[in-house]
Amino acid sequence: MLGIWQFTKGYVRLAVTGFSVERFLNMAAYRGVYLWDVERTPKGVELNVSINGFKKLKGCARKTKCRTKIIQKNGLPFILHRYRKRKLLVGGILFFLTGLFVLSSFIWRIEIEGNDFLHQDTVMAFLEEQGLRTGALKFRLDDRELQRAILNNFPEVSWADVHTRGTRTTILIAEALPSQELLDRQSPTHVIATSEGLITAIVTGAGAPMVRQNDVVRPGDMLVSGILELEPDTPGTALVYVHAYAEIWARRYHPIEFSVPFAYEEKIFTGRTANSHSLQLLFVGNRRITLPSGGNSFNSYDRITTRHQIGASGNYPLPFVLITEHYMEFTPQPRTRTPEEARDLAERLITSRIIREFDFGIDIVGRQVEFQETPDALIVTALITTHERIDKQVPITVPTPEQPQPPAQ
Amino acid sequence: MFRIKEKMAGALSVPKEIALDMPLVMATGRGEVSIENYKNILEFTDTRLRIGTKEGLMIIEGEMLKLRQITTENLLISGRIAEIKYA
Repeated sequence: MLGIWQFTKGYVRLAVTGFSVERFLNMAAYRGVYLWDVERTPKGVELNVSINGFKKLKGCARKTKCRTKIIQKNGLPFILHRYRKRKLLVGGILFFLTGLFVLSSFIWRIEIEGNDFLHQDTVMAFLEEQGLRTGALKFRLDDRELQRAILNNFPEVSWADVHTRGTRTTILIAEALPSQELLDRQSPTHVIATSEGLITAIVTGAGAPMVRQNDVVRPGDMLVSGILELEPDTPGTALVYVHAYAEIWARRYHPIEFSVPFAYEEKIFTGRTANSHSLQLLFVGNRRITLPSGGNSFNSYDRITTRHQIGASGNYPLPFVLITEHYMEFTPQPRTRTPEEARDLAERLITSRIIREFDFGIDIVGRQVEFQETPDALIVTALITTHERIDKQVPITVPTPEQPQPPAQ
Repeated sequence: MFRIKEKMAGALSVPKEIALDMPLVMATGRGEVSIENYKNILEFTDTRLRIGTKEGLMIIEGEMLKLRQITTENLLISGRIAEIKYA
């Protein structure tokens, strides 16, 4: 630590010769000059002294009849003195420091963590709306403000943390389970259908059922009414509003239609690969510079693109993204499927569509698949039967007692 | 006079090197010796160091003796020390 201080202040190595160097040392110490690394030489001593101390030593040398000679100059003042005429170097240093300051006052990387259901792009689009994007000025952004905005905008986010370290902003998100619309148990409600279907079971908790088993309903149809007439036989009787609730199951049919062509192309990879690199500069409108290496001369190829932001793992990600394109050559080989192979493929495609498109809570009760062969394709018609709940509560607006009027249905 | 001062320092338990300007010698191993409250350097070679203190002449002998730091109150000596004695 002392060494750094001495380096910045500057010091000299001095050779002191004379009749009594001890007297010289004593006088220097007496005058408060700090000396260090004093070594004996055949003629006298060698010692280190700071630049300020050296000025005071001149008097000591004269009085004790010693001669001093500078052997070595060390430290920053001497280095600066040496380079004082090199304006370009000084300019370069200033330019570098300014560049460092300017570039580090932007956000160069945004990371979102903890989102399982919420899509990365949705959050990114929202952040961009709020002014956070790569290349945004750091001091214009308020992490707390952003945090609040995320919480307000996405009801499914239960907790969010935004923090900026260096040129990176990290957004941590905790998602809540999608909350159901809760209705006050006292408020009057109807139960309506969320989708079309054939009613299979009705379990009514409260309210007047409007449908029966085997009825076909369409979305929005009233299933259970929350408005009861006290005496159904006499018209114009008093009405009672109840909180209707029911569990209503229906059978639904989902048609799936697609065709599987018999002719297809198989990719046979030749094993030949090539790479090309380009550098994306985030600070000039995401411009891409293709680096002079690689490229490919393949006719048919698969391409894998990897993006690597330089310095992405540290606190100061830089606004350079190295993009590597990896090409793999293949030769397309025309093939034909047999009808059996086409059927197998069709079955697999149906299964994967069911997995992808249907919620977990839905029971699949039937799956009818019909095939129709044409000269060049297999036409697949599938009907998936499901058993699911289709009830949904909607609140009823009760007319105020001052203006009694029959509720419009 | 001197005796009185020493007794007072003892009674008030003030460190003697402060009250009486006595030298305080601290040796770390045999490579480093620090002397506080020295008066002056009388002789300095790489094998022998003679230092004036209030208690008299102090002689340090050894090899490759070097004065690492010199300030008004403190001397830091390094080297391979063989002997520290008063004469």
